[in-house]
Amino acid sequence: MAASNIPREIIEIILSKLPSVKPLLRFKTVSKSWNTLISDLVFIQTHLHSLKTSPDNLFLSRYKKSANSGFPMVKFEGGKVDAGVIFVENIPNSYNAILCECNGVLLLTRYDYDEYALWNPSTRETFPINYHGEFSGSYILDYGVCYDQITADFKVVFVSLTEYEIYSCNKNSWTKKNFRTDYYNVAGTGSGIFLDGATYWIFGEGSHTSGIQLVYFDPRTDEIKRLQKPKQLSDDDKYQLIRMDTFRGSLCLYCYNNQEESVQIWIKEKGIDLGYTNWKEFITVRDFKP
Amino acid sequence: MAAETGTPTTLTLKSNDDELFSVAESAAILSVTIRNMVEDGCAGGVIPLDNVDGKTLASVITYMNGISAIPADEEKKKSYRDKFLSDKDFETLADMVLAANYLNMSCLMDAVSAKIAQVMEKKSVGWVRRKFGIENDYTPEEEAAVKEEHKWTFEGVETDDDN
Repeated sequence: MAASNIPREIIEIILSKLPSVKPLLRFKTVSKSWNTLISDLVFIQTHLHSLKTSPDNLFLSRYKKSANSGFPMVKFEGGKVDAGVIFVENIPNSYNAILCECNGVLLLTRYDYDEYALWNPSTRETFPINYHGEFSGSYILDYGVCYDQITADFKVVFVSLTEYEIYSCNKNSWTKKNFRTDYYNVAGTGSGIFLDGATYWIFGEGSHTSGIQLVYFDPRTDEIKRLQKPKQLSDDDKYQLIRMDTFRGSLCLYCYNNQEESVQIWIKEKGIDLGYTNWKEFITVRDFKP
Repeated sequence: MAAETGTPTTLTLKSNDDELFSVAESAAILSVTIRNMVEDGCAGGVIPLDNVDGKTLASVITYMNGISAIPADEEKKKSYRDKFLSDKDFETLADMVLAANYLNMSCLMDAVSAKIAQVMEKKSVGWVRRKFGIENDYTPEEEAAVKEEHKWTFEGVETDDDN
């Protein structure tokens, strides 16, 4: 007997648990109402959230930048030491590097030609970015992509020494803004980490001795703002911020204490900064000699 | 009072095809629907579950007893759920997802809906229409257009066996 009596809200729950995007796109062909449901923005967010919280973690490997062999994803399963490398889709023609990632969407570039595109390997859609050298003559320090949930817009941020440029996919246009200070790159190009509605970087401040700063792009105001460091880390002679990453859906910060030779990991409270930032010390690894 | 003397309280559940089942209250209250009835004092006699048939209810009770016998160890609970659902066909899973929804059992609901999604992953559009009883309301031209747009997603689909 056909199970014709499964109501729409339960179908929605079932579809949101599909382990990849491919069957969802195929099932748009089932009927008009399934197509409407699968295309719905709220449903897409629910599905994305369900994939992000699944126990199988996939990591994008940045260091193999070959367009011909597809880009590598590393699958890490709890309890297993060896990670399996999966080659996913080939990067679309003419692009040769992945710069950063946001919600499964990758920022690609063709280095020699200053060409950029957003690419969603799950749907195989490419979105070229209309870039005409807005930073001509100025060296691009870093990149980031941010998904603005309120306007359902992907925003691409290019950061240079004294200014930054925001590209809105919805508007297909660039906005340029100035920093109040000079920054330099600390963690390597493409370090912009998207999490919880904002994109974060570690930058060095060039003009005076205030050292390493945490900054974030807030898509609500299209501004790059400074994020408070853990108060305990304000002594720049003693502490060295090594990198930023995500851990269990939170932003985390690795820092090296060069007096005690220990590495501390700090975790930021969830949510975009509200004028204050709560950091919690998560773990300290002692006797760490680089 | 039974609870004070330490004797486990037993509830009697009745399916919509009039089968009666005895189940320990401690296991039955995994269902928020049943727990609310117990808390409201409506569980004195027989608890009628009008949306669940005897076959499905028997299966749900097996799950209630099995999962509540496992101490608070999420790994073990997960592996029990995986094993419990491993041999169920689509129709059984569909009945269980409706029962879990009606009984308001979130852990069973999550597990069964994820299992159905896993079963569907490589199935054809025709299989999904038959199993979910969905009418194709596209014109042939519209259907061809939607299919063309996502042509690559039709690669690697299993041949229908209707299991």
